Amino acid sequence: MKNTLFLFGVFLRESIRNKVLWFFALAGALMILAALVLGEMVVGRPGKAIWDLGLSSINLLSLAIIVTFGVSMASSELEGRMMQLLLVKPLSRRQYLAAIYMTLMSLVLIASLSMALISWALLGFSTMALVILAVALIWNLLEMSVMGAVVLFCATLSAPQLAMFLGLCFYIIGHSLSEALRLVTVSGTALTRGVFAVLYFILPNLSLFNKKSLLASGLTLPDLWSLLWAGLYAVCCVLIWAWLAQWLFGKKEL
Amino acid sequence: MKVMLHLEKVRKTYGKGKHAVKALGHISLSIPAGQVVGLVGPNGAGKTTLLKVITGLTHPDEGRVELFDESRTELNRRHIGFLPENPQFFKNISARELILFSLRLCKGDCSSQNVESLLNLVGLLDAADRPIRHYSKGMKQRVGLAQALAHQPHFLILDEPMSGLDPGGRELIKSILREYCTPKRAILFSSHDLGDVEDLCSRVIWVEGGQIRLDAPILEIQKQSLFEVHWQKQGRARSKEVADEAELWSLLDEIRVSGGQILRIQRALVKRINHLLDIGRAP
Repeated sequence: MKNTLFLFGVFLRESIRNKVLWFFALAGALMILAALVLGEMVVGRPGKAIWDLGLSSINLLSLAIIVTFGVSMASSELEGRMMQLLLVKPLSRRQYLAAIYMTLMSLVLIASLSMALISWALLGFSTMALVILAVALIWNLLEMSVMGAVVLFCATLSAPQLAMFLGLCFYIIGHSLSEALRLVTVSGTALTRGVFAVLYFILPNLSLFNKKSLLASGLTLPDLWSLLWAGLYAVCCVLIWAWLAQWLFGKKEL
Repeated sequence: MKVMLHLEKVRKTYGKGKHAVKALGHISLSIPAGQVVGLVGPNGAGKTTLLKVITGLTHPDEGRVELFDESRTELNRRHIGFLPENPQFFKNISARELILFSLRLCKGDCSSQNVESLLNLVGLLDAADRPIRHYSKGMKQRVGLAQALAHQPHFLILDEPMSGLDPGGRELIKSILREYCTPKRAILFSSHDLGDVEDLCSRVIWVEGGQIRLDAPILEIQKQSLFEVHWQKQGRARSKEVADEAELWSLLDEIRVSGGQILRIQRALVKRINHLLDIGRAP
């Protein structure tokens, strides 16, 4: 555990020194500003549009960090020689992946927290905004914890560019899986219903964590039970995908 | 004497079916403490694969790898120091941070005095706080060696440690390695430069086609042929191998008297190894 923490410290410091992270931070701040400007231009319910765009920005920034940094740290093609130096030391491959995962989660936490603070400031430090942002952050972190494990799996499975593409595919499919299953249940054939039912159980269902519309409407907050259920689902997904990632990584020739 | 490394019938093949490439074919060897072993051979001979199998970076298809008389584990990896070929580091880390990190992972002496002395040893004290990405190739090689040596490992494994270094850098690394090897430690390093191998090693292992073709003490090889003299006489280049120093001096006198011009004198290790390999290949 101690060695994992040492490595996590080095990874985190390296990532914070990386210019790409600061570019993402700048892009995130611009997205929030854009959300405010665009929200004001919307006819009807400008408040909802601001929240929708703002929360989506936090989610997209987190995704960009997870995919970019996850693939660059876990891909043996990019960091192969660095891995060789580290993995001959008393450090297991599992610890190495665990350190990357902890780094990804920390980066997402720092980035989304910073964006939430900026948003809160722009919204005039209101209590309601604080509650909505806090709840949104928790759901975002749950979603990203699953995406972190999935990206590690993709990075250990394939080449960097393909791993990024696969990571994004998992994100898009994960968000549309429930809707697609509902659609084929109504109008699909037995075969497509079967295929989608299997996919539904194999792939992580990220739509479970998507509470942006609900929070943006400001009508109601997700209840504690749905949060607990989503938390449990996230833990199961993380364990499964992280186990698959470490199994593949353990077999990798460096 | 403690055995640092023991390999038994280690086999490794890359790929499958038609495209399978045999990297190592049932290699067995032992390295006891106190030896500096040079691993030589042409490109694609299997040297790097062998080093990766020893360090656990690559898994053998068959065979056993033992370090310090026991199976390789995370714990006994603490006593290994490794420098890969063309090492790369975190982009923004400094040499000081890298050495400290290495010491922490291997539970070495993390005092600033120790870190400074290591940096001084590899001649990087002045550049210690600069990001490694700004280092030259030679500096990277030296910081790589420093992180491998930092925790005073019993067994040092180096993949082409002198590649891309200028003569000064080579000499520095050679002197560090000469000093490092004590009767309780061992060094295994791969190299293309037989001069370096001759300078440093007590034993040479020649690998070719994934097999050990020759494994002999350097003295035994040198005994059979020591020097190769190249000279020019009346516009014609000539060369001759001599077996000992007395013969060398008499040949040099002979060339001088006959009006020849000595072009170079070199150690005839490659020729001797090839000769020994030819003997081995002969039916």
